[in-house]
Amino acid sequence: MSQHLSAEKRSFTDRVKQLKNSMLPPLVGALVFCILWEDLCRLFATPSYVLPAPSHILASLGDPSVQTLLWNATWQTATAALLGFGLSAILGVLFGTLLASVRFLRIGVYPLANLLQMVPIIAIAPLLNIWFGYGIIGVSASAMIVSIFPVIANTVDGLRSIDPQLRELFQIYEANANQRWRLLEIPAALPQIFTGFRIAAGLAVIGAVVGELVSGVLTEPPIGAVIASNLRTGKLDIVFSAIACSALVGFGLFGLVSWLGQGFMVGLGQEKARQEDQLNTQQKKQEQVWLGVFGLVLASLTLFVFLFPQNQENSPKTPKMEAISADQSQEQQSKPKRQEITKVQLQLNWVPEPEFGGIYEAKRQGYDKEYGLDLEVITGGPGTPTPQLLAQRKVDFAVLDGTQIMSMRAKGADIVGIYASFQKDPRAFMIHDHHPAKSIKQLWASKGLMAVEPGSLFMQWLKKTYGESQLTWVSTSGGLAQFKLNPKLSQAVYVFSEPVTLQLDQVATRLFPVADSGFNPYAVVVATHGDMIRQNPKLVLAMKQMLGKAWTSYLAQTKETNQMLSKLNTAMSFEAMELASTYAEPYIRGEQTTLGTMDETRWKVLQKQLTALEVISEQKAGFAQACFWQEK
Amino acid sequence: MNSALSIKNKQASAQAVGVNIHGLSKSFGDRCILQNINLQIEPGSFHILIGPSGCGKTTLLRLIGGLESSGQGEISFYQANSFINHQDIRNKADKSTQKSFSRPQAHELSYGFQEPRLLPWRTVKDNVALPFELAQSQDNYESQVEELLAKVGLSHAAELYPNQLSGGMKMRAAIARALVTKPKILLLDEPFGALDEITKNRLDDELLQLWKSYKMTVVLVTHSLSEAVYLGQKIHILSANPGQIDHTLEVDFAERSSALRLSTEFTETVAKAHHYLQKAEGLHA
Repeated sequence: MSQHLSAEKRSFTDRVKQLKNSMLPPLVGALVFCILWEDLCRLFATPSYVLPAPSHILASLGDPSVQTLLWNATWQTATAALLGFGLSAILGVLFGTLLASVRFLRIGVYPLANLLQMVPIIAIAPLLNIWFGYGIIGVSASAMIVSIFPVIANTVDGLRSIDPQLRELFQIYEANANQRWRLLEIPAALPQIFTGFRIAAGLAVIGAVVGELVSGVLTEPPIGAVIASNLRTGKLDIVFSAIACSALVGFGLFGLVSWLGQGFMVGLGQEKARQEDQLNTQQKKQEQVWLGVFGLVLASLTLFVFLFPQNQENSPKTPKMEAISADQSQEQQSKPKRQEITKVQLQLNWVPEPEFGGIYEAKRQGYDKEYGLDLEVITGGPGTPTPQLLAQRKVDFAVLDGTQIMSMRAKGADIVGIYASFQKDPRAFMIHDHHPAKSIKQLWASKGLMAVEPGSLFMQWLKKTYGESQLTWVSTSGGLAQFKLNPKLSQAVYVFSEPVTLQLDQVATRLFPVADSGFNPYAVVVATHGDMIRQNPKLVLAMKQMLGKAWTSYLAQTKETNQMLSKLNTAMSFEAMELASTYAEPYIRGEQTTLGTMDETRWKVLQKQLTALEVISEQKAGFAQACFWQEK
Repeated sequence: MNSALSIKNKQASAQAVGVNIHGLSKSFGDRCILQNINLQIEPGSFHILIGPSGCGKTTLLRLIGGLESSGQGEISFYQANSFINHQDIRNKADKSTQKSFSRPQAHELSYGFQEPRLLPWRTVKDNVALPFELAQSQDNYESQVEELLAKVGLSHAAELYPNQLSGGMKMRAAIARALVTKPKILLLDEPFGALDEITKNRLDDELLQLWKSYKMTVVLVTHSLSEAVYLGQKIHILSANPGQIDHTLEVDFAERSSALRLSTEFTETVAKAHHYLQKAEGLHA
């Protein structure tokens, strides 16, 4: 008895020591990683829209609203991940048992279960959204699909490698199948099953976050939705905080599972583990030397942080050369001379569609050569980081949104709009034809789901204007399936995209342009970086004039360019392209007479709106003017 | 030690189960392991199977225990008291002979393996209680478990896990598990083979004590002549290729205790057994 007691006592002090030993090194490791990260950010003066420094991320965490956001998000993700993990733990063990005991299932089904592991969850996440809808069910399903395989595999392996001698023991006592499973197979396989559980715990969190990118409810955003929204608005500091939160959830779940596992398996090989942790004196000495070296490196790295000043978010230089460029442009404007042809790249933010009709028209008609340009159009897609590509001068020109130009400039990126393809913001709220709402305001006050792209600023603006909405915001990433399924679901769309698809599918819809609410930024704006304007204003002007000519030509006759577009983008038929052009035209033209032009008043309105939404901070005079370039 | 040791006293062990083996042969593929074994193991007796390695002594024990699919021939169990109630005994085999039945119920037959085969995730106490659990016993068996642990001297280790035990302690726990249901027949396959001689001798003495108090039939496989002579009433010496019973040696000591090990009587019997064993080996050398 006394021997037993002392063993217990020793195990307690050992546990404290073990905890210290096991927790301290990774914490120090994380600290070193963060300091190194900070150092590199300061050394290379990395802008925060590319990679925010840890100090920057920590500063953003000081904001109580961010704290609430992240706390709620973490809680939601943790619940969904736990549910998904629980499902895969229970179903995985049951399914693993079935596979281990039935030979033909093992041969026939196991390879298929293996296949489950190869399925890229990001690809099937939108499908899960279609099948399970929004919220915790779809998210947990995603967490389960990602995490169930290691549980199945480890259960099968564990059950199949049970000591045949112990099986014989149970045979002697004529144990039935249930007793064998409960008293022999499961306890014997438990260490391996828990290995599966530990792997599954981490994967479940990944699965949940990926699921949330698509199926997360935006009004109560979980971590995945927070990441999606803030990635779009360029708040990388919050994105990184959210990633850290998801890592914490994973770590917590992993810890919980490991702890439970140890509780289940007391006395199993614990003595061994204790011995392995012991170092002999020589090793200890060696370790002390290494700790000393390590400490010195750590100290010097920390010193480095204080030596370098933090990277200030200084606003970009306002183009001083503008006057000169204007002079030169006037000279240039009169007659575009055929000089040497300059290669320029234009990065799109989406696949070839009529919203870029003028750009493709220019290529088709050869207008680019006419203006001394050799235009290379680079197509984009979901998630193309056009603002970052342009801000880092990876491309000469890029298509982005008026709000993106303004918020990027506020963050210190020197990008300038030169041609606004869409005078009126082509975004609209789409509802089913039978929906009772007659205006945005009525829609806002109705109940139901509203599918929007995460991080849509106009939603924030409407909230500010009309107050809290009755609608539950969800992500649009699931395509149009949810809209078709749910008569009460409204969706924020581009007038030339979703309504076209639905019209061809014979689904009757109605549209409320977002611009009618007063939030009307320029859209599909061709922008360039400040250096280009200062160093090569002629080229910028040529680009602008070329675009003007091309768009005019496109709107007069869309057929040939649309045929070309439907060849480039086989996902959209020629018929759909034509319809899209028709839908887009009033938004391209707007109330302006001249295509593509921008004026300061509208940029100032946008600045006021974005300031009110706290997307940008208070800026110096002339900020709105600097967002776009206009030849005099 | 007392008179219960002699075969004459077997009627005292009315509950013990005997085995009748008739014309038993067993082969694995082409290889004939056992050939035409005839053996009668009386209820309450202590039988030893000994022989060179590969003679099939373990296979014979496993056949008795039902761990091998049966070969040719017949194995039947019977009880000395013909008035026993047959209702609680399964009768798979020959129904015409009232006394015999194919195999006793699980808790009436126990098998001790060469290895302790304890479940590592259970304490000693819970390992010993396993047969009750598997028999889905509704009784309160805790006192029986404690009694057995006391008998094998493991009361202090009841709450320990197998990996905290020495080899001898593990084997004692395994013996306790085998005996906890008070079996009517106990089959042991070199249970103490892996232990040092001092521990082995002590466990042999303990086994004798338990045999006496539980009045059961014991069949023990060993490769140690002195253990065989010390424990067994009948020593069956097997020859190999194919396995056959070459000779059966009857041993009838008045008293078995550590003093016996030093007596000339004992040494002579061991020498005799040695002679027969050599003969059995020589036959097929």
